[in-house]
Amino acid sequence: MKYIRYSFFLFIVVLLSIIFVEVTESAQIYGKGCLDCHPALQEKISEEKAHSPVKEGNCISCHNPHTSNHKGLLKNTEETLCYSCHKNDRSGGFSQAVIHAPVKDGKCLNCHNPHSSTNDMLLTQKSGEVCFSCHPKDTLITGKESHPLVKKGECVTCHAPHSSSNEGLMKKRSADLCSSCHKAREKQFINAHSGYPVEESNCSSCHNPHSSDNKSLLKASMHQPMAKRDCTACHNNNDSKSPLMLKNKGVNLCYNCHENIKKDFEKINSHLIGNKNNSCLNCHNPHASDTKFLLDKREEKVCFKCHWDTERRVTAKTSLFKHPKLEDCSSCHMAHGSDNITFLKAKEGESCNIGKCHEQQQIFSHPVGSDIIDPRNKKAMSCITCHNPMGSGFKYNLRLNPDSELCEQCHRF
Amino acid sequence: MKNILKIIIFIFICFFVNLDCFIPPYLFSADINLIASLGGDKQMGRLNQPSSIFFDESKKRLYIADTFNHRLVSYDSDFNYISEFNAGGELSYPMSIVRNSREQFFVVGGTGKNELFFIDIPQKIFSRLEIKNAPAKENPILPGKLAIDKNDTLYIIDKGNGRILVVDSSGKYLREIKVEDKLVDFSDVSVDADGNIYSLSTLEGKVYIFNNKGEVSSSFGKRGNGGQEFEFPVSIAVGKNGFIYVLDQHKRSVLTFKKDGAFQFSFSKNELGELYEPYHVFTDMGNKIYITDRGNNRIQIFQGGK
Repeated sequence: MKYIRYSFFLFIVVLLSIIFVEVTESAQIYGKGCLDCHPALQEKISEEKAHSPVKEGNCISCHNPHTSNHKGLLKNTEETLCYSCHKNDRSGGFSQAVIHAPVKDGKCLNCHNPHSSTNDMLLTQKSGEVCFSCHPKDTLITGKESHPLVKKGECVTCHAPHSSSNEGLMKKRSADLCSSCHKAREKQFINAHSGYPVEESNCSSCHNPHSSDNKSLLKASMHQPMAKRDCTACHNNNDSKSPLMLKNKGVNLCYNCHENIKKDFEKINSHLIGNKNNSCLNCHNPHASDTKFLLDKREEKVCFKCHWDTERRVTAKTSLFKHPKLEDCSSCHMAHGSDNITFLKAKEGESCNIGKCHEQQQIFSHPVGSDIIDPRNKKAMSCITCHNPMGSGFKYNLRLNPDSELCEQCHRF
Repeated sequence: MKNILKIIIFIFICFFVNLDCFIPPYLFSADINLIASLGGDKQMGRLNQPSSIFFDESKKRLYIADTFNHRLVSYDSDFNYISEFNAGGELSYPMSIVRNSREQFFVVGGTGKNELFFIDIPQKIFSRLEIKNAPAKENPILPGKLAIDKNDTLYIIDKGNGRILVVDSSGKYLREIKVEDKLVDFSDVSVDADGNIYSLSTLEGKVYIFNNKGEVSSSFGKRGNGGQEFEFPVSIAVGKNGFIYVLDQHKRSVLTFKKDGAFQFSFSKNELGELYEPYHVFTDMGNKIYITDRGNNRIQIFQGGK
């Protein structure tokens, strides 16, 4: 019995020794072993700009040579693998307030080649070309004039590719960034800005930093006083002590000219909110804009800035069927205020037929209107009793499965 | 095997004998029951987008601001309709209502939905209440929801400037409660028996608790899609049991917290369906929770636990 125990112990020791030696050796020869079947990688390894584990032939730092649940026999997800070495980047430079979406999603390979590259920073293409693969050049250069850096694809002169503390992944505040090339003290600059000291202002409030049809890359539509160079409509004179100071406080400044808008806010649901500045500036740019109604951004972006839970819902993968032009929020909703539920332009029952969008459905459909009462909540039935225009998992934007549960809500058999 | 069996039996007993203390609170929806649903009847007509509720403890009366019917409606404590008031047709779009110990009402409404009214029914007074000497801010005062404390001090949400104005019954400005250096849009206010003030910033998704001097004593919450996070919180109430009830309009539910921000439970869907565009939550001393289910033109009343 004693003999068997000793033999077993000896067997275990020998087995462990063999395994240890094999693992050590295999770690050293894996690189070579891998290249036997992947000769194309040999060239990459010899390139100067190769990822350090590749240079070292340490393929198994990222790949499992036998099996994997991940594409490319990767040992883990792209995100986990990259950040296992680049952890300082993740907790440091990559974690500022504004994070580039691929960085946030751990999609490093959208921009970088994990093996080697002829480009700096292991980029898959030349710097600008990488950016243009997701942000096509023709969507940035939309006008006759364009910024020379955009033309050259030198995006990283102004933008931080991973994360930044500034909006739009800008490397610095707009004023600081622009003034590194555009000298604000020069006479031509001062004259162009009607003598106002704008060097500390946000340049992209009036200029499109990428492209425009207008001279000096001014945005497409300008606030009327600005177009007339009548800055004093809102600001003090340029020779006063505080030339940029506004002539009136908050929304009253806007009401001076847009008095008719005041009534739009005097509703049950009003977008006149917040404790900072002029409420109008929550959505509008007072100088110039590339979008309608001098909106600060594209309409849906303005709305989703506050209603990001709605954005999450309408962009959810489960939201298979969506109302067309869902991004055009003001087709159905009032932007300033409304007496109707959810800021709708019309009452629930009439909302789907504003602009005669669904005129036909008003004629032949399930009966709706004040005589047709939903037995669940005793309300008059309307289109949105059964349809969810913001998106649903069922055809025709139906709220529930029409083949099993929708009709049975009221028509119980 | 025996141990696993024991654990299963223990969990089974916990669920069926209701030993709450052994089970994380978020597994339970507590003992919240729907006890009434007020939508109107043939006598009074149907409610139309009711916005606000106030329960008068001394009179045991429930008052509803029936916004689109331009009236205030009263019910007894058994939720039987008593009467309605519209100031001879002068009251329009009442959106928020409170009543002081002298049985005088304060109502936000008017055609511009931006006026504060003082109503004394026995004295037949219906007048606009001016807020006197409030510090001027960027935007004009835009009164929103109201709250009142045991000393009849009135708390008014100033939507236009994201602050809470504190005034007495004559409209005399006493102080303002605000949070500076960031965008805060206070959307509701509630006061407890100790004079602590509870408010809610919808866009931040944050509950602010102020002491009776108006200083921030704590805050909690954030927006997100987690079960304990807010999507679009619009109203807040603090119960006698110390629970803080936050009405989330987009989640269509009420999330309940302790004062330290510890999530307790949430409740929403019931045998009468979901809430739709709910606007206001209110609690009384009997721990009844009232919700204006505005999109469904009704008031849902729940009995809360101890």
